[in-house]
Amino acid sequence: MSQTAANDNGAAALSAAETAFRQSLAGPMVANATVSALRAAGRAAFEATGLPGIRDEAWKYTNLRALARRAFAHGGPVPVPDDAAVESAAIGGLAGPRLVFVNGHYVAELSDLPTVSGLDIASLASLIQDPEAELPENLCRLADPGQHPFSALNQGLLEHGVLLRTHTGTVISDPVYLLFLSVPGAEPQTCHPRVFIDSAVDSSLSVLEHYVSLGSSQNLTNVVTELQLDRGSRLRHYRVQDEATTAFHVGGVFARVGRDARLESHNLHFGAALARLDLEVALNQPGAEVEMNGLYCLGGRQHVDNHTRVDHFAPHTRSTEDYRGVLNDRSRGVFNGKAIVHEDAQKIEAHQSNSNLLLSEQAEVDTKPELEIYADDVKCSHGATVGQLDQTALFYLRSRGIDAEAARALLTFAFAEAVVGRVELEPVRRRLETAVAGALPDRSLIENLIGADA
Amino acid sequence: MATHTPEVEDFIGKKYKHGFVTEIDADTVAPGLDEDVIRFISSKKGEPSFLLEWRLQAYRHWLTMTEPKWAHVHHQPIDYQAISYYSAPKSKKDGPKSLDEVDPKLLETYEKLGIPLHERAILAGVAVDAVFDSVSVATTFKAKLAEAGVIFCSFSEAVRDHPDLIEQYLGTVVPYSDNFFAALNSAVFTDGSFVFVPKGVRCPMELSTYFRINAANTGQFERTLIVAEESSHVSYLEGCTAPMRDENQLHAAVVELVALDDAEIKYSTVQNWYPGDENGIGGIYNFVTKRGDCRGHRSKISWTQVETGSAITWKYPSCVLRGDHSVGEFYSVAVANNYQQADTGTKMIHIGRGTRSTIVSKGISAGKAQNSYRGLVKILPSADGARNYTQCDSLLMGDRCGAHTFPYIEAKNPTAHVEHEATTSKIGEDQLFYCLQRGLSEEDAVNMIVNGFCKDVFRELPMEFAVEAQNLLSVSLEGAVG
Repeated sequence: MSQTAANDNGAAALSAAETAFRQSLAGPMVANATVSALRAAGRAAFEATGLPGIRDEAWKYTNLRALARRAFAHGGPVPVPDDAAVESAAIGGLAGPRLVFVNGHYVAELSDLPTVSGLDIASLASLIQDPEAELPENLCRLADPGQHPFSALNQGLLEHGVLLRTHTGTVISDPVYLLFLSVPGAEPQTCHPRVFIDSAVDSSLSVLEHYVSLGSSQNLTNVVTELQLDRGSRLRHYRVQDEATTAFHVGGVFARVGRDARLESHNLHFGAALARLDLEVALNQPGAEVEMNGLYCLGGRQHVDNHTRVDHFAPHTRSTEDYRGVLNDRSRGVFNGKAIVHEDAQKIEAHQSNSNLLLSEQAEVDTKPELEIYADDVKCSHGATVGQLDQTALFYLRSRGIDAEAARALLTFAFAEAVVGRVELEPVRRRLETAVAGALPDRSLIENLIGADA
Repeated sequence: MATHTPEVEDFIGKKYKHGFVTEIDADTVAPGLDEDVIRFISSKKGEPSFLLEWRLQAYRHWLTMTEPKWAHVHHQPIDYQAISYYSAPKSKKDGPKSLDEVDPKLLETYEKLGIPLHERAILAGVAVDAVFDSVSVATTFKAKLAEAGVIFCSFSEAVRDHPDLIEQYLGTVVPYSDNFFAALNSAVFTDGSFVFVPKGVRCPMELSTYFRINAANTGQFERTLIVAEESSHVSYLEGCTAPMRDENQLHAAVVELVALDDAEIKYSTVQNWYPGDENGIGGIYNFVTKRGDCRGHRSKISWTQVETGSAITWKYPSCVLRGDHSVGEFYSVAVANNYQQADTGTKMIHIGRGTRSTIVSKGISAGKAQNSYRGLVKILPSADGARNYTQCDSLLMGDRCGAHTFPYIEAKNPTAHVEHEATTSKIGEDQLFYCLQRGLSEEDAVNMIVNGFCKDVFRELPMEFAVEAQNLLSVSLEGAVG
């Protein structure tokens, strides 16, 4: 990665954002030696690469110019939003613990932490000043800072976030709800929270990460999530990105899946001016399995980039992926899915699909489903489509007396619903359906059809 | 894993049967590249000044470029100063007027390759413009073509006899600044073929050129230009074999196709250059730029290729679908065995309204080979109603080979319809078992399954090539059952 890649003209001067990041990285040290060492490594990795530019293959279709222009403030005072604003942003009706973060900072007053047997929850910020605190062995080891400049930045500024750990053999039925609120201040803020989830042997857990802005925030949220799935564990990971359409969002989800463990990843984007997500899953042991669902519903001038990668390191591993995009106005969707089957990883199944609906003349999609296969006893497939609604389906509905507009709305909604419908948490699914309807041109029509309350 | 029978092992170890060197004195320039070498090539060929100027521009541009590294291949760095950039058979002095005047040793070479030039030309109705090293030595059926108004000659002749056409079309599809190897080719190309089909003419026969790489250490830099005027039709066949040798040879050809309104060009390739031995020593580096420009409305360009040879193949025959309702097609079978590496695919650039493209790519990997499909389908905002269908399938034989797919899709028009499908698998054990149980030998069974796998592409090949392609496939692959 080139040092000055953020500057397309090749000028040596650093962008405003990068200068600000480098200043933040030179912040004070912390009491916990492990954290200090991790920070130093993250800082070194970020300083070696800097912000990526479009000459980096992984950023070919995502230009960070708009982001790089802003000098994001880091570590300022945390605004306290009022309860009503928080409640309207949050998804209601979910049983289980709720942790609320405001601009990355954990806010205990807004959170609700009932004791859940078999589950340990800890705020990272409370641990890093404790020299005695024991951190998970793999914290910052699942995300490679050398490969991902934003993860390096996050690691260099490691302070806030949450650690979740299940106990062996426990099944936790209520989901853990992590609500990340982005609240605008006098100048654009940035935060770098980290989520670490350790699913112990034979345990089962659902986690929802929900990113929302209050007001028209221009903040940058740069979050890294690390998922460790031990033998036989099961983790459902829901990630809903619904930030303001003026905000910036960069995320990384890095998972390591052990023997016979199963990860379900649901990744839905509705908001942000510019959003980028790197989802990387390593299937390390036989029997490991991952299912990846994704949806991006965009309008205006939004730009969302999803990069997913599955590494099949072990035989008898399985991955399926279904990402869908609905693009309206001048929005742009980018998808890059990679499935790599390593040497000697036989008896593999890897299936990948990316479908896109372009609803307007100026919308654009760039998709690249990749396969790299170094073993022979595999069943791999991938498919990508770009197009408009199926004319025969439209005709069918019209022949049944449904007018063209309603038919189009219904089919578009159904296209997205294929992903949303896999979300098992009822309140989340309802919220997502409303969000999908909201992102489509014929909002009221669809809401009528699905009977949404909004 | 099925165990290999001794016969099968024998087959895997099958040596490249076209390996031999014909000793002919070559008029060769010393290795190295600078402006003087380019001036030497140009003056040797008696070129007009515009061409020399163009070559020099290309060379100066090439000096500013670096060799691309993005392809999924690995090789030793190439020393461009160690290559001799010009080599012509000595016996060209006055230029042969007919087959009788051609150096008998050359003809012998063709015989060994199984290309009985005169016989084949008459029997199959194919005019052959054989390129031996860098200068064309035999062209047949000129008269018949001339009658139809078709120009089919070596590039040098075209420069001499039709400089206006060359000046008009050369570099308009692949400009010298296009890429590293295209720039190098533009600076130092020595010969190639030129085809011009005038308005409304359907070329009376299939045109064919056999390329051979011969004199040691001579990189081949071919330049092919095919122009099909309004409502014309031409089918062009290109086939290659090369003698066995240990040193890697660079081949950086450029092929440009221009199709005007309602014209159709069909370009078929069977490539069987020396792939290196079973330890990955030697073999040809095949870095080719091929591009067709559907300049006219309703024009059509179709690429069909069967790639079994070369140590490294790196080529992306592409179509620029500029004219409204123009059609681009790409059918490919790429076979890689032992240590071969293939990174191949196509680009379909949809610019005009109602443009359509079809991509069918079949990759077969065996031994320790790496086979990649890399393609781009780009739909520009102006391409209303554009349609693309892409299918790329990979077949794996052996647990040490690789098959990779890197398809890029960029769509900027909501009325476009783009579909991409890819699958990767090995030969089904149940299929194999079924065949064996019916009394077929393992080899025959594999052969049959592989041929079935490639059927969609072979169907697109002209008759003469389809047979050859199937045989090539058998030789390249037989026994490599996974």
